[in-house]
Amino acid sequence: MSVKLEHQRGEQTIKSGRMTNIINYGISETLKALFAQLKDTPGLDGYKYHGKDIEQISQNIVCRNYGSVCYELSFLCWAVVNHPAYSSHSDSSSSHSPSSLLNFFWIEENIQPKRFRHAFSHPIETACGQVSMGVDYLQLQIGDIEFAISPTRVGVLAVMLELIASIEPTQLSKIETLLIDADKQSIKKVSSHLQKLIYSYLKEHMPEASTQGRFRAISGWLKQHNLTAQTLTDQGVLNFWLNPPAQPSYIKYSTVLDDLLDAITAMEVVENTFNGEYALSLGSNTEQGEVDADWVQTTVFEQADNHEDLSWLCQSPKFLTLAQYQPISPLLSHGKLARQLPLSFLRLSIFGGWQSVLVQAKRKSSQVLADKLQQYPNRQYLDYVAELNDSESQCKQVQQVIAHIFYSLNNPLFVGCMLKQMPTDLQQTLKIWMRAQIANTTESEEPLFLHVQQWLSQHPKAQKWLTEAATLFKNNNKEGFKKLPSVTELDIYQDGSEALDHCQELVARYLLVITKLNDKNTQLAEIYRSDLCIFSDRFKQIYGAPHA
Amino acid sequence: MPDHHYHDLFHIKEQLFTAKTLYRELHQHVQEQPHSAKPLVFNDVVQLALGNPNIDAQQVMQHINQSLPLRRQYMQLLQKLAFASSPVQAAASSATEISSRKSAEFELLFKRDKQFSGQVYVILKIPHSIQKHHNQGVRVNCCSEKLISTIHFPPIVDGKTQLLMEESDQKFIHMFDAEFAIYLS
Repeated sequence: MSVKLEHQRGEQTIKSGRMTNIINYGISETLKALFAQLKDTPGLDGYKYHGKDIEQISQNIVCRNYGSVCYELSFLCWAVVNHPAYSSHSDSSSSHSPSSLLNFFWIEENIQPKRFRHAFSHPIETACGQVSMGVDYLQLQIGDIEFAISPTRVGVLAVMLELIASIEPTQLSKIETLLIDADKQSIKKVSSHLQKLIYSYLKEHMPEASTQGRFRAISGWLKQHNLTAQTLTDQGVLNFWLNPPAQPSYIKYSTVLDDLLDAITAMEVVENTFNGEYALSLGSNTEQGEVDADWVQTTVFEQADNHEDLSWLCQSPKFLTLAQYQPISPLLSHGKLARQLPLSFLRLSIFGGWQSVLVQAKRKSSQVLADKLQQYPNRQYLDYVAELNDSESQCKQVQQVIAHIFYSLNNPLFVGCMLKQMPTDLQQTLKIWMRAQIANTTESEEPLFLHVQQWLSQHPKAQKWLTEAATLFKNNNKEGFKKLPSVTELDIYQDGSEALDHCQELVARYLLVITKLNDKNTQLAEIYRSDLCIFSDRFKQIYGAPHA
Repeated sequence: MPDHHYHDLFHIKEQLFTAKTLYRELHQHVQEQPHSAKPLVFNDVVQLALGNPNIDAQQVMQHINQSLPLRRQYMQLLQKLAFASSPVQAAASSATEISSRKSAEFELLFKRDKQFSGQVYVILKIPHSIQKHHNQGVRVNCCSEKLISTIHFPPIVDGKTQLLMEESDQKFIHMFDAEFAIYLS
């Protein structure tokens, strides 16, 4: 009953907002800029935080699933604050200015696994607990509580601490004061204190009302047109943009596409996951009728094959340039729906791009806008297809380069990349041989590497591929590829290789759909001509026809 | 399906949509904003205090000078992190301009250019400089209650480094103003 009332209230909000004519975004410019700055802020060597770690925290934030991160962070801070090398016990000014956290996280930057391990290389024993570095985890024992922190997790927790310190710098001293010689109860208090701080910040910078209004508008429209996730077509998307619901007012084609697809994805997931009974128990058992935030995050970001932002591929190491990554980005964002709605993504690239130019022009002057309305896009659908082809082959090449790096460092992981790019017959032979090797031996990785190397020397195709990989590496002068990295840095190359493989597959499957659509080599050009009229007319309606 | 089931499912769908939409917006390109409107992260202030040459000092300084809490925070960091400092000089005379600043670790002085009036050579001597001063140079921070200015000197060679400045440059004036404390990083 309470949910129903809330729904009705939501509808009233939409009606009362009728005066606004643009979409009211859910995230403040300040919060957006804060995250952009997290990516840009410098450290001892290059950027301080890795894009992947910032990504992780941004997912926690948008899902309002930061409770467990705050809990982990409180334990990590406890270990630092009570570390004799960083402890501010002897510092007379400790109650006013942070010492241990500042030294550990900012000055020494012990946030990469290697530095973190080194900082905790000696076991610590204090009156309130013990800390020691194990093979995989930093082990904490505080009273009867045991807690483990992985060195690879510290980067993520450091981003959270940076966010907290940036929202309110005085928090660092507070955390230190609360955690010195503290017991498990005090750690829990710090955790809940941090949660409250983030909660009240997000209340101001991430209100949910506007996104709820958008979802209601879209689900209403789909119901009215009797459309579902399975029956939505390219024409349906175009119809929505041409005749959108009254409120909130949808102007940008890119927003229409993103919102429609995000909405149908959400609908499909929920309908496939829940039966009515379970949904009811989730709704009534949790506070304020909210679904478990951890479930939301796992469903939206981890289980799905889509909505990933892999822009860290353009960071350091620079696996891809921005120009190579950008065409892939919308496909990554919507996964399999790009194949269900192939034309919508061609339209997004060409006409969505044209609309962005118009929006920029409108900010300058009406004359510039009128000029841009007259100039048709300089790219057509086939140009986008060509860009995707380039990106695909780049993904493949860089994987080959990564294979060379692994090979040069005697790491058998190179086989994974190589197998995917070998002719099928050789793939099969190698797979069968390797399976036999693994079954027959319990030896460590190094001899396996030597075995594989010997085996490969008998196969000219594999040798040729490795030589080619070496040449590609030599010719790649992008950051992170100028010289061989050290063995301890290989994790990120492995992540990169997996992400590139994902991109490559996604693009290849999309291009296959496009090829079928354009089997006579003329269809795309025809659709483009027709779309040009449709979009040009609608833009003139929106932005004002020149000389009218 | 009973009505309340429909509404519960609707609410869950809405939550998934919201998470995804907010995520997308969070990572959208930030609209063009004037420098001063772009927020800082705490690390930017720390890096400036540490003398990291990769920081956009002008932008960070602009923020610091617009906010008293940030100024206090920056001063606190400088007190903790600076390589050397020279306090506000005791107001012995009515004139606040001084000809040199000296401490156990450094000396800061200036010479007027004989050929070009209005130009000065500011010389910074650090007899026992540390490695980073040879690699990345030295940052000199001039701090008063109401204003902080910062200037970067090139790497130290043979114990000294220098800058050619306009005599009217506020940063030059602050360096030799007794009411400004100096912090080197």
